[in-house]
Formats: sequence, structure tokens, C-alpha cells
Amino acid sequence: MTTIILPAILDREAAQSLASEISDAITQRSHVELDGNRIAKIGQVGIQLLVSAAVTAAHRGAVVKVKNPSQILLTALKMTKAVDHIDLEASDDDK
Amino acid sequence: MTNDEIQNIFLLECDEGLSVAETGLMAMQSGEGDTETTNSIFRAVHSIKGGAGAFGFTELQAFTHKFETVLQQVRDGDRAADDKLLAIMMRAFDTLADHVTAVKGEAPTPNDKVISDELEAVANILEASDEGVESGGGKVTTSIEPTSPRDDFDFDSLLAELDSPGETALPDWKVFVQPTAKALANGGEPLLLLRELVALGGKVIELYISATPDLDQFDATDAILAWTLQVPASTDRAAIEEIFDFSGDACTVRIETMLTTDIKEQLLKTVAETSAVAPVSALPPVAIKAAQKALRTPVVAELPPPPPPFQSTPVAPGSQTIRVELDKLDRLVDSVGELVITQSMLAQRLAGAGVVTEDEMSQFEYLTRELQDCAMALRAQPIRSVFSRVPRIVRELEAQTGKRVKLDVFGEATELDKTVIERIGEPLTHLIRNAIDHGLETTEERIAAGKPPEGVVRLSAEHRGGRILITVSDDGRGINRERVLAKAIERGIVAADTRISNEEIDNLVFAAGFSTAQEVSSISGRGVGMDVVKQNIHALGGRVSINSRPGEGATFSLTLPLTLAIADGMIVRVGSETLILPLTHIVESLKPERSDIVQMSPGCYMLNVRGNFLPVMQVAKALNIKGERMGAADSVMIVVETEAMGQTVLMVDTICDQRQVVIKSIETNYKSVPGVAGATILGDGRIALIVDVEALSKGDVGSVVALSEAA
Repeated sequence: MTTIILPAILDREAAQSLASEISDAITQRSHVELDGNRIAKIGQVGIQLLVSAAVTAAHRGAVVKVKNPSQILLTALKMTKAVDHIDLEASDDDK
Repeated sequence: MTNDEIQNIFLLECDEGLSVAETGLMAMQSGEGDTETTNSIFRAVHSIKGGAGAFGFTELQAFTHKFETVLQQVRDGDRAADDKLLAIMMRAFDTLADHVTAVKGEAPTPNDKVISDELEAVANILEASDEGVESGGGKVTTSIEPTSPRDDFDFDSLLAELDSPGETALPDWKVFVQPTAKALANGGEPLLLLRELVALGGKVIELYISATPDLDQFDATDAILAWTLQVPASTDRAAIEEIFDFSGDACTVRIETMLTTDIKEQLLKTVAETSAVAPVSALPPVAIKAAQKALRTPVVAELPPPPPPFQSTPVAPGSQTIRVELDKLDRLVDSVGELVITQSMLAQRLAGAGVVTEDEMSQFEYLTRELQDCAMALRAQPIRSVFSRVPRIVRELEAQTGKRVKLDVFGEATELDKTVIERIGEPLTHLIRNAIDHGLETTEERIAAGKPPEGVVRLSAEHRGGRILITVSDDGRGINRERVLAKAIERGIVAADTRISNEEIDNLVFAAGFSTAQEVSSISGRGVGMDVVKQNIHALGGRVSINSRPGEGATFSLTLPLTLAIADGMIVRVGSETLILPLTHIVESLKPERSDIVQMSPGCYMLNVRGNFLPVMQVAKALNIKGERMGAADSVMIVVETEAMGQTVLMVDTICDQRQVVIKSIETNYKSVPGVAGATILGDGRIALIVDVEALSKGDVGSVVALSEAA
């Protein structure tokens, strides 16, 4: 299992560089965790990255989980309904 | 903007909505309608309802609500739009048009009780059939093992939602949002727009991720997600639109009302989710009822296909049209007319002074004419606004005569001047009524004649030779020339021993007071209709002709000018005056032999035109024009066609030129002068009066001398 810590600001630049990093991780490992605890700012591109990661994992028969989402990340995922497409590991309270 | 101005915009939009709805209904009738057709009709009626509510037009609002309810059932696929229902919807449309006319203050509020009852009956039948699903139970497949229903699945509330939109509550807004890559440029963040919608009470009900690429193709500059949000009905649409005010083409947005289909989609999803843990048979009866009601298809049916690809409309992508007050357009057209005149004067002045400016002046003339064409085009409108009234007339006549009529319309997009459009309605109505009432045979007669039981009326418009040609044709019996001639003789319109051609017999139907109807009817047997047609067309500077084929039908052709602001005229000299004779009246011009001019009495002549003796009107004498004039033998004779007098000869001194002239209103700038239709300014700066040939032929004239001097 590989854990990638998502940055505090998941903007376009961060997303672009993370895309290849996550892709490589999925290729190398069947189980990848994305730690969202530090995320303080996320926009559409960040959401797209997480959805793309989930889609890619599904295609490659791997698992990508987003764990420890910050409140900001969780709110964004819920508001955009991306939560329906992402394997989210959050506390019961958060869900 | 004042309330009145806003209301006027609403009324204009009502007309546009009615046009869209009628076009859609006709497409459905001809079997060409599809889902989008139904949607467009629904949206048009829905928009009218919304505006009616906002402006307090309660009767209009109430009626559109009933109409909308039935349209919604059709749109949702709950009800097939068969012939019977289409007939009801067509009548509902007519009543809706009457309501709109009423709110404009142009007619009393229509009595809509009968059609309202029919619409309600239609809606209620569907409700009754819904109940039947529950009792019959034949549509439900319950092959899944029973388990416990989910506690959080509230069918009752969903049922209430399903029933309520068409009855009492307003439906929520459904907002599609699809940011484009532009939305992400320069630090833009589309999620802020979503947050604002959420702040209005909205919630995302669908996230579209189908465009999501593999991580290896991930491009952080691209926007790939799209959403559908549900926003409470209590939210003002303007508040939603305001959020996207500055999005431009960075975001495509579509705002609609949530419909039963949307609610059903949600319900289906919930049912699908529930069925994984709770089969339908295990649900409480009320839940099963709600599911059946919502589905109206077997529960085991596939989930509906995913939402279609985005057909979003960019918010304010740069409007395609703008509304401009007619006065402003008229001022523009007027100014351009002045420019044309000034250009002509300048050219003539420079030529007179021997200044060689060939290139510059030809370019100037070209640009001026271009500008004039553009200005005229601004006033041009598609003839669709006139043609769109015809289907209703046909429907009404079908009901009144019992005849079956198929209306074919062509060239609705043909454009002509707004004023011409406004005045063409009445003659066109007469021609349509005539074609159906007189032209088409009864169904029995058609069958006996080996024709299809349904008669065809064809209405078309096209540009031809700088004018517009409108034709109304039918495949009926054609003009019964024997009966027409007999009636004309009986009424003293022609002498019993007159030998006239088939064409002349056909044209007798335009004679004042002529009618061959066996009985005077409310449709077209008043004996004035065709007379009015010819008068109105002539008043517009147009002509009307007939081509009749016995047993095959008749075609009435109207040739009209594209605009009333300019006209083709013949410039003639009479004594000290230069006059314009509209070309539309002129048949031919002659320089006759002395022997062809017969003096009946002093100053009263007849001209022998190939064996026909036509009365000669001395224009100078009729208009009291002073100055040295030529004698009859040296004058030019111009044969003109008039409504009142048939062919008449106008005697003028010389023909100077023939050209397009810009018409200036005498009435607006001075006062109405009998015998003068208007004025124009010639290239040399002189004013030339445009002769009202019709009035002149009837002797309804005044003196132009005082007018010329005043000018």
C-alpha cells in the first residue's frame, strides 16, 4: 500500500504534478491511499484529480482511497456529489 | 425600465411563444414532432404562464396551467399525443391565443370553459389510469425475495412531490452547470458558482464524470465535470441567472423547471437502491403504489438511460437579437433616404460642374445603396407572423364546412417590410377562406371525383425579381367560369353579349359585390372579400392574378413590393411640373398616331389601343397644373391599370426617366392632398410629387400647384 499526502492547497499546479505521482503509484501498487487531512483549499481541478484517480484505479483493477479528509475536502466532495464516485474513508461522524 | 415596458416585452414574448407552440403542434400533427418538439411547446406555454402570473393575468395563468398540465403528461411520455388529443391541444392553443389577445386589450376574455373542461378531463383520465395500475397490479413483477424496506425511504413524500407540481406547488428549478476550460483560466474557480447556488438552497443531484480521463491523460487546465442542481422553486430565477451574469462563455448553463420526469428519475434511483435490499413486494402498500405510479412500467425495467449529453445554452453568449423601437428604425430609414437623395444631388451637381469623380462617386453610390439595403433589411420581418395565423383559420373553416383540409406552407422565412406584413393579413385571410369555402369540394364530392378526401391548400412566399410573390392555391374544383359569367351578367357587371376571355372571366371574382356562393355564409359568401383583396393589394402597390384549372384547382398570386419606403417610378413632365407615376400601375406607354386619338367633346378624348377605346385623362387638367402644355397629338399616353376604372390613359407631356425613388409622406410633413400619394426629391434637388393614380382615375384630386409652391 502506498500513501500519498495531499497538499494543503490542491490547485492546478499541484493537481498536475500529483496526477502522474498517483498514476505511478496505482501502477506499482494495487492499493493507494490519499491522505486529505491537510487540505485547506480545493477547487474543481482538485475534485477532478480525485475523480480521475478513482476512475483510473477502477480501470486498472486497483483501489484508491481518500482517507482522513479535512472538513474542507469533505464539504467540497459532498457539495459536488463527487463523494458518490470516490472511495472515501472518513469517520462515521463525517459521513 | 417601467412596468409597462416590461409588460410589453412579455406580450411580445407571448407572441413568440405562441408561434413556437403552434409550429410545434403542427409538426406533431404532421407526424414530424419529436421529444424536443414537445419540449419546445411545453416551454413556450410555461413561459406564458410564468409571465401571466407575474403580471396578474389570472385567467391567462389559470388556462395555461391546465394546458401545461396536459403538455407535461405528453412530454413525460405518460400520454400519447394521438389525433384526439392533438385536436384538443390545437383548440387549447387557439384559446390560449385568444387569452393573449385579451390581455393585450384587443378582445374580451374568451370563454374557455369547454376546452378547460376537456383539458381537465384529459388530465383526470391519466390520474384514473394511475389508480388502475395499483388495483390491476399486472405491470409489477415481484420475483424478488421479500426483505425489509429501508427505513429512510419515504414514498409518501415522494408521492406528494409527484402529484403536487401540476396541481398546487410550483416545481423546483433544475440548473445544469458545465464549466469550460475558460472557467479555470486566470485562477477562476467554478466551484464558487456551485457554492452560490447551494447558498440559494440548491443541492447537486447529479455529477457528470463521463468525460473524466485516465490519470495519464489528466490535464489540469481542462474542465471535465458538469452538474445538475435542484434549486427551490421559491428562488427567483433572476437570482439564479445573476450568479452566471459574468460567466460569459466560460460556463454553459441551462435553467429549467423540475418536472415529473426528474422526480421520477430520482424515485427510480431510490427504488433501484432500495431493491438491492428491499424488493418491491416487501414494501408497504403505499410504497408499492407510489412506485407503480411513478414508474408506470414494470419495476424490473431498466433504469432510464443516463441524461443526454449536455445541450447547454451559454449564459449570455452575446445575444443574437435585440429589440429596437420601430420609431428608431423609421428614423434610420428616413435618414438613409435623405442620404440617397443627397448623394444623387451631389453626383448631378458635380457632373454639371464638369468635376471628374468617377471612382469616388461610384464608390459613394455603392456604399449609399448598401446602407439603404441594410436599413430596409432592419425593417424586414419574416412573413411567418402572417402565415402563422392561417392554420387556425383553416381549423375553424374545417369545423364550419365539414371539409378536410391539409395546409402546406412554404417560404415562411421570406422577409418583407413590416408595414407590408401588417397590411397583408386581411387579404390573405380572404384568399384562404375563399380557397376552402369556394375552391375545395366537399369530402363526398372529392371522393366522387376520384380525388383524395382531404383537400390541399398551399400557401407560399418567395422573393422574385425584387418583389415578393405570395401564392394561395388549392386542389379543388377551380373557378366555375360558366357560373361566374352567368352571375356577372345577372348582376350587370358585364353585358350579356360580351365576349370575354377565360382570364377575364376569372378576374370577375374581384368585381365589387360579386359572389357565387349559393348562400351568404359567415365564411366567404358576403361578396366583398375578393373585392377587398384586390383593393388592399393595389393599395400596397401590388398586383393579384389568378390561374384556374377546371377540376384541378386555382392559384391566386399576389405580387407585392418589398418595402413601401422606396418605389419604382416613371418621371414625367406635365406643364411646369415633374411628376412620378408608380410603375406598378403602368401597363405601357404610347406615342399614338393622331388617328388613334378620338375627341369625344372639347377636351375629352378616347385613345384607340389596338382596338380598345380607353378614356384619356389629361393629368395637367386634372391636377390643375399650369405652364405650357403639349396638345393631345404631341403628348405621351401612358396606359395605367386602376381598380376603380380599369385601364385608363394618362396624358403627359414627356417621359424623363425611370428610377427608384425614396417616398416622402406629404401627409406627415404637410397634409393629405387628394391625387398625390407622396413626394420625392430628385437628383437636382427639385421636389417631384408622386401621383395617386387610383385617385386620379376616379377624379378624386386636388390642385398640386399650391402644394408645389408651398414646397
